[in-house]
Amino acid sequence: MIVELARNLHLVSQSLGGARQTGGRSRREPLWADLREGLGRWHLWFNLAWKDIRSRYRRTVIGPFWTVLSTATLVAALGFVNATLWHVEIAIYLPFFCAGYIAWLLFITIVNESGPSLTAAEASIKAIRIPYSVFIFRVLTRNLIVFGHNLVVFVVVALIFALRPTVSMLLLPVGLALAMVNYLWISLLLAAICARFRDVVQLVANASTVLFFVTPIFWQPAQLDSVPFARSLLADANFAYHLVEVIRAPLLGTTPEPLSFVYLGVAAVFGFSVTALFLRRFYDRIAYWL
Amino acid sequence: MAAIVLDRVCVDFPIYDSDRSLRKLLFHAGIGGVVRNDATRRNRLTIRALDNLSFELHEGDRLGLIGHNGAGKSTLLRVMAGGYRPSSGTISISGEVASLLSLGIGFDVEDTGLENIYTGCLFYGMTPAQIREKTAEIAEFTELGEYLRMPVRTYSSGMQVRLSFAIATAIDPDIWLLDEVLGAGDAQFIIKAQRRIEQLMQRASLLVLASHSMNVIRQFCNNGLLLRAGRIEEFGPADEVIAAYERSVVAG
Repeated sequence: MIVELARNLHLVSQSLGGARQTGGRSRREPLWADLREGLGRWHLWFNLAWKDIRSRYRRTVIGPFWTVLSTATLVAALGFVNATLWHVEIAIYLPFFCAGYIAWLLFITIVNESGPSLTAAEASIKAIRIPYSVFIFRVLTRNLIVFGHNLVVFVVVALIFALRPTVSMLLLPVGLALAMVNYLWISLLLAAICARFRDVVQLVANASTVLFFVTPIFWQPAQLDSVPFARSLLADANFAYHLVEVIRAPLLGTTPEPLSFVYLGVAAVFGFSVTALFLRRFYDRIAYWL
Repeated sequence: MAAIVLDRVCVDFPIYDSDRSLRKLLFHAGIGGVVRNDATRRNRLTIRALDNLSFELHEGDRLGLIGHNGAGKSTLLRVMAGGYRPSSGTISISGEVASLLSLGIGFDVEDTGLENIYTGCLFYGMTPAQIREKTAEIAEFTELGEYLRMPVRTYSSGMQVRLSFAIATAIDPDIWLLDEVLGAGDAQFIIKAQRRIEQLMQRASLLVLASHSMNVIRQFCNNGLLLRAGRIEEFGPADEVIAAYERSVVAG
């Protein structure tokens, strides 16, 4: 009888916009329910992301210019060294490295900041009903803002070396969107896994350094052509390469290979399916892991 | 129609970083939930914080949660607030829920009081338009005056209580969940807070409050729920449950 009453109340609660939690299997898919509810709270996560940026530079004199400055310094230094080392023309190498590096930064910062994102929000997650994706959107938005700052460095580089604007540059929003869609599931899945297995945060940090060297960011994929299978392994099969390439290529005025779009499209479908399965099984447990 | 219906709700806390010695310690501590080895989960150590709770609350119910430290009061409130999903069993809630379970949800101590009012209200699900409408009222209630333009890290804990309380009570909920958080405020603020709760109770139709103070329970609640080690020991009119609790305290 109580169960029946509970069912009736469920209908009432839905019409009132109330909340219902079940211990067993939810009827709704947790991933989509959470994302939908999370998107609706955009005022909150946009505010949090903005506050994150602001607090990072609080009481500094030049503020967000620090981001620009540190990216610019690294791009310039490594750019000149590598161009000289490999006898590549600086006018070609520097824009290539700069575009790749800022796309890489977007990827690697999101991946590294996702892990602790739910753990850091423990207090609010346990005390009020709030979708987890709020804290994921916060990480993504924050890093998009930083990417915007870094873009300034690239624009300066492009102006210095007089990069010619092309139609392919219009693909930038498409590439960026495709990358962000993938970052959404990566981030959500990582945040949930890292809540349970704290070692994964360290593992990701370790892996990202290695990934930087084996992914064509500061060297060109064409340099692998002399070694058999190297290019297919380090570029074509490399998820990180495609995530970078769909942003880098349009910035440089070239069109990414269709392979990149296909790869990221398939990865998104696959990734969201895995995340959905994971959350269907563990969604109710996440709060206990924090 | 506000209602909370719990049907055989259990909450098991997994202990991930435990070892045998911790387990022994918990077994002999004599307070808190029931520590058990969960056979279905490969001998993982869990603490049963809530054990098979079934009860219903309806419009007009003002429930006082009573029990020793670790009896499960805060966990039960968090389940009702939607923070924890039950490990088994179901909970159905109809109506909008507001909770003040821990102070300073989403607080950023580097931000000013006013900025924290904005963020805090967003956390509670208010829209910017609603927040603009409420800000003056919240600010007035805190009585913090010019301090609202200062970073929260300059506040005393009592001042932070004022701020969080004002934010959490700014919503017009159907259901109101309150953990014992008023302790940190000064006497004058507690009187003011009590007046606010009374006012809220005229609008909110359901209140659940956890407290160690039987005076607070008597003052605000018509029903009581005595928890012991996550189980319902007594559920009924507040006076009777308080009497049962006081007998258990005397008996030790």
